[in-house]
Amino acid sequence: MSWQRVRGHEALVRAFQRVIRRGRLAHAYLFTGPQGVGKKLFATELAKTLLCEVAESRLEACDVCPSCVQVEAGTHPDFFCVGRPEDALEFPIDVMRDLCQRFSLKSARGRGKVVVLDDADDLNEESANCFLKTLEEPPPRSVLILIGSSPDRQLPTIVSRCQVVNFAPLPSADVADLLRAGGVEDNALIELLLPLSEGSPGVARALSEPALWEFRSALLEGLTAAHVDSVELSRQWTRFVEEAGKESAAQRRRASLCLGLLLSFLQDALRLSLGAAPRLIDPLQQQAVRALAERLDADRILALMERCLEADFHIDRRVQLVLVLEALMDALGQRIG
Amino acid sequence: MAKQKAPLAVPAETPAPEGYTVLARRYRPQHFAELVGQEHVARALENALKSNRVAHAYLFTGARGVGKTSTARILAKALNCEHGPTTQPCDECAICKSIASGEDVDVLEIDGASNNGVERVRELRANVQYRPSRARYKIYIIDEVHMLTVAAFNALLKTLEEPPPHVKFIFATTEVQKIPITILSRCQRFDFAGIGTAPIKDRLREIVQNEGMQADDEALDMIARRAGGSMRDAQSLLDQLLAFGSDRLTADQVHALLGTAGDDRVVELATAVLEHDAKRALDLLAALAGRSLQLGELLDQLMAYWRDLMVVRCTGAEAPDLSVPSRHRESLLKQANALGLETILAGLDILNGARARLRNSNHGRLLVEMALVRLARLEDLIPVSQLVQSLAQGISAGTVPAPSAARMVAPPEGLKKKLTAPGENGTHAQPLALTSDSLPEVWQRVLISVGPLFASQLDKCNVPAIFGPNTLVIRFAAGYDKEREFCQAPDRLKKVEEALQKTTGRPWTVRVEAGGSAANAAPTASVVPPREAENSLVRARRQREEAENEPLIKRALEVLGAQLVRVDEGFNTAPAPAPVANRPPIPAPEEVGDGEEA
Repeated sequence: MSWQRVRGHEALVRAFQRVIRRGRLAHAYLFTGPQGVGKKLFATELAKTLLCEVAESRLEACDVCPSCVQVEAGTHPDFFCVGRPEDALEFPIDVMRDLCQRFSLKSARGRGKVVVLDDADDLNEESANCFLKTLEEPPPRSVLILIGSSPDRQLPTIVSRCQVVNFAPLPSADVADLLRAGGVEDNALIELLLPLSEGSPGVARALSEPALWEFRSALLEGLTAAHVDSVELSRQWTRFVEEAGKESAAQRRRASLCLGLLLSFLQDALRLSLGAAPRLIDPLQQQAVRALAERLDADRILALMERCLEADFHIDRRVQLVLVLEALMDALGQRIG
Repeated sequence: MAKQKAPLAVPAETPAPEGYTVLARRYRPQHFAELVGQEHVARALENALKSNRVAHAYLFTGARGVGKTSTARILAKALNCEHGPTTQPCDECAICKSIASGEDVDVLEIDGASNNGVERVRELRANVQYRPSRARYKIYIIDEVHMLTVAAFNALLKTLEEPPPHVKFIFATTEVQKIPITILSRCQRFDFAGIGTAPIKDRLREIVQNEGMQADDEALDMIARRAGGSMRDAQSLLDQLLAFGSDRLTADQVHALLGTAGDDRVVELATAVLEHDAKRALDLLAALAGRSLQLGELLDQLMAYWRDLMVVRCTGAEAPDLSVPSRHRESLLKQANALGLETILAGLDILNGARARLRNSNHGRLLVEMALVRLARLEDLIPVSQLVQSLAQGISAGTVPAPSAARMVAPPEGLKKKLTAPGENGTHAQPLALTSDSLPEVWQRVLISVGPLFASQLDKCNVPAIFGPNTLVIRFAAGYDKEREFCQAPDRLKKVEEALQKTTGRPWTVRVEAGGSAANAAPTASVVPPREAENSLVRARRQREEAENEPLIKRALEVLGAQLVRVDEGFNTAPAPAPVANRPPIPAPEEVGDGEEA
């Protein structure tokens, strides 16, 4: 019933049902996998199943008992879902302390407690450390689920206390279905998104914005023109990014989406210059990729990618966007032109 | 003082309703004898207990999951047991039981990371003076003590040095380098070693038996290896496998759970890379990435493979402790012997760099692809020292030992042909009178006798012209300023003059001029900078002279025929930058560093 909302992770659902049946549910899990493959949805479903009060369906939430309804509404007293606040760079220690404090109290509805900790990638040293004791020996019948992109991003002391559950990318068919369900009707666009999303419906959805693709065309044309006008390109990029709204988080997200498209373009150019088949089937990109691969050898393309990754790092680290984009375009212009 | 830890579940075998307690907690050692891999600590503490010399402050350090907290609890039990102090706590009295579950009133287990402020320590200081409520000692176990603030540490100093006789402190941390020296000097420090693979595996086997499950030896071996010396890592992993897997634990299940590629696939990928087949490497990676592959794990596996290459290259095939399964040893040996050690090390650098950056990158797949392409395009390298040595010995560059290296050190093809062709006549050919007709041939011989490095620069000029009696003018076109400057140096001119004299039997004067090829144009603006620019360049020029006089650079200029391309703003004669050899100017600045390959 309720597990049906979770797409593409049927093997994991069965595995967890087996775990519950065997009575071997651990108290700490670290869910890892690419962004947007449904880790949080899965964690919430699992929490609902664990807290569900209809005893017979222990392996599946009933969706009707008060507990299920409360989890769904986000008001369950024993279910905590915390994440990094939107405007914060890292996970603040106050949030963690507060969580540990509330977590140490007895379960209100008597079926134990479940914590879903999103954005575990952004735990800083302090907040991660203050969590260690709770993570190792929480009160009985409680479950902590950390959600992050990779165990590499966690302290070894955190990973050592958790069972790491890896979420695989979704098959293309599932991603396409989810996109259609999400209101993306253009089949050509979906075809284009599938290889780029690398099996993540979340990423595909973020990329499905038509404006992004228009900008990409301008960018590719600009970069493969006879003379690369880096000033104009960075101006266009900045303008496009600023259209995302006044909040810097939204602007950064958009900038890094564009950068992702640029990187995938370079990736294809690299593949082509090495004799491998490029992945995208978009004619515009094909043309641009061929033009670039003719102009630059693999070493140069690698250097361009290196520069883009650096810019991506800067965007992540909250360097002023205008500076990042101008510097990037200037460097690319010099190297291509 | 600070919150006491939340009560623990008493080890319970009954599943569902009571909740399940993970293996790592259920199989926590309860006696000194059960501590795996920490025999040295156990013995020291037991001796201290026996001789009644237990210190008032201990610091336990070591990696995660090696038994620090467990040892602290055992020590607390040993000190406070109703039948103690003893090296063998009874585990039956009320005190032992409550300590084991972490809820004893006199053993305060404090989470140093959440209670790290100075006000918490003040609270602790206020409570230290009160006697324990029922046991012999009041024992403070502070875990993750490295997270205490500086103020908190300092507030603790006096108490830590001279606590009341009924108080013992036990600190545990993974990061001892963060503890102030003043704290360290007041504690007895015990370093917990990483646990070897074999003891971990033995312990895992015991646990599997105890749990009534079955496991393949290979699977346990993989878990133990993967745990990296941490017992808790191994136990967490085993727990997960027992929960998720089928009734019998196999190696395949471990691979599937960890998202690691099978050994055969890693070897296949490494072979593609070593055969310089970037295309196949990318295709293999794409095939692997389809099935929930962990990129970090893949890089780790590749790094292990390269490490094996390095070890085998250094010590031969009998090297112990290789991660590659024995069926691949032969091909490993072959690959290692085909590579230079420098190349293997450079490969490790590439992998290591990618691994480090993977941590903070949103484009992991891309990073791995880039690393693979770089590895596949890695040319065979020869150590610089060897290169310099061979140059110093006057061996012609083409005969440097490593055969594959010839490509990198040999002069450009065309030049080489020109150099060797007349050489067949012997270098002591008949003196040749220099006339406008014989000029090309004479020039070729001069090029040969000045040596390949200088010749490659000299050859950039237009064919020289005879200018008046006994004077030869060498003209460089406008684009060859660097070559012109290089040849203009007096000692180099002298070398050309000597060569000319040897070839023609007569003394000649040589002049170097700048000028266009066809029109014999006057020096252009780019050759002679305008006066104002010259003024602003005075400083740069002085720096340049300083750099040229730096012994290391001087030697490089002489031996390698290198040429100073650029002196950085902050140049200071102590650490000399690598001189850049005679190559055409390079557009990308970061490439300038690798100039010595000339």
